[in-house]
Amino acid sequence: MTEQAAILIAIADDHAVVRDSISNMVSGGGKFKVIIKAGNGRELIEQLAKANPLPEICILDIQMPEMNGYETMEYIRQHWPDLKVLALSMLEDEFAIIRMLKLGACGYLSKASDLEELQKALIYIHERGYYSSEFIASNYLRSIKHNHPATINITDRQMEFLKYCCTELSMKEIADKMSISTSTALSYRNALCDKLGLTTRQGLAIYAIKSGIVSFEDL
Amino acid sequence: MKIAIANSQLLVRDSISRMLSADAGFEICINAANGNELINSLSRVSTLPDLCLLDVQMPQMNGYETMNIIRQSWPGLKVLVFSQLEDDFVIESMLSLGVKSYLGKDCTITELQKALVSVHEKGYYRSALMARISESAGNKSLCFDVHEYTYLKYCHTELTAKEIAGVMNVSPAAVYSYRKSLLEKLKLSTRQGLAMFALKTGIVAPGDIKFISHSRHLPAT
Repeated sequence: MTEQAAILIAIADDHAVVRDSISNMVSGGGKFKVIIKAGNGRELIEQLAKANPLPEICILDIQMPEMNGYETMEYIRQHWPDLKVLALSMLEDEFAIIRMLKLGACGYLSKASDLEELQKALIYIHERGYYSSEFIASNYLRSIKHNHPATINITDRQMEFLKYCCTELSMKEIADKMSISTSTALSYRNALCDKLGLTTRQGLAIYAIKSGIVSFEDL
Repeated sequence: MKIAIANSQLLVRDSISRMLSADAGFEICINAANGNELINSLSRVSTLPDLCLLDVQMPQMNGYETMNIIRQSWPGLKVLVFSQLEDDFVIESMLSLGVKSYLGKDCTITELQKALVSVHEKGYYRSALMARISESAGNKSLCFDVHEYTYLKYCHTELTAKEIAGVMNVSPAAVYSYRKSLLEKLKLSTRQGLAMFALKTGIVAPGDIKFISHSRHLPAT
């Protein structure tokens, strides 16, 4: 057997048992070594900034307190463009998948996967630079087939609006919070409903949660 | 010690199974993805598990409903909650339904083992989250009747109040009374607030939300 340096891994997941078990499992064979364990995006970024050497692959959850996976992914792209990221989330909505891939993740794994598949994904990403699966492919296909790439074209302001949709604030109050007119707020609502095939603010709120734009901790 | 796990995330179940099975003292005898599967398995086994490790936020049958059935059908079965939800309401409700411990997402595998042993031997394990609850005054636990609870499960949908009345087979006036009562109890002001409450507390799990997005494009299955 040839002596090979272990592949260095970082994990950001707010679930301690998941962090520990991933770390245990991937370190088990000696092929990988987990050097960073973080409970949210901010902790990950802080540890990455101090890390020497940097990990080669980050396993990144999406729904995390303080700094979610989308925000973390964007930050990583800007500061460590070569760092490979595997998104690992309970979200199975195509918005989440496509957004993470667009932001530069090398693969997307659902938490409905087992630890074996996670290990396989890490090896693929290390060897080929990406991990594709039936799960990703079928979601991508569905998105193309139903012709709504619109899911990925939600602007930052619309994203902010979606967050407010999950509160009990009235349209007028949301408009005030965002320093826009009520009619602009309504135009955000209509544009988003059109894009997403929804009819009510209620539907938008549910969408925001399902896609991980708003996490349960934010409610 | 034989343990049944019900958790909607395979990765979490797999993690717990592997980490616990590494220790000779633990054996996972039931591995369920939701409350339904757990109840079905429990009613089939010849020997009941010593402990159940139950999630709250599960599709099809959530932790509250599961705990209700367990309490009625197997009153001696000890249950611990292991959940990502850390809302006071959830913790208090599950404790009032009779769970012996409530473990959150900061719980490590070492603490989990400790809690399992403690509940098995002493009948309880006091976690940090439970300590937090006993300090906070006021009862926030599950305080709805069956109709209010059912209505709460429909609040997140795009159904109108009239349509919900139809599905529930009650009059629209009855639906308004459930809404009014819930809003008062939970100190909320809109149906939107009720919907978010149901999601936040795991009464409705993300897996229960079907085709809300792109509903116009996808065939209903």
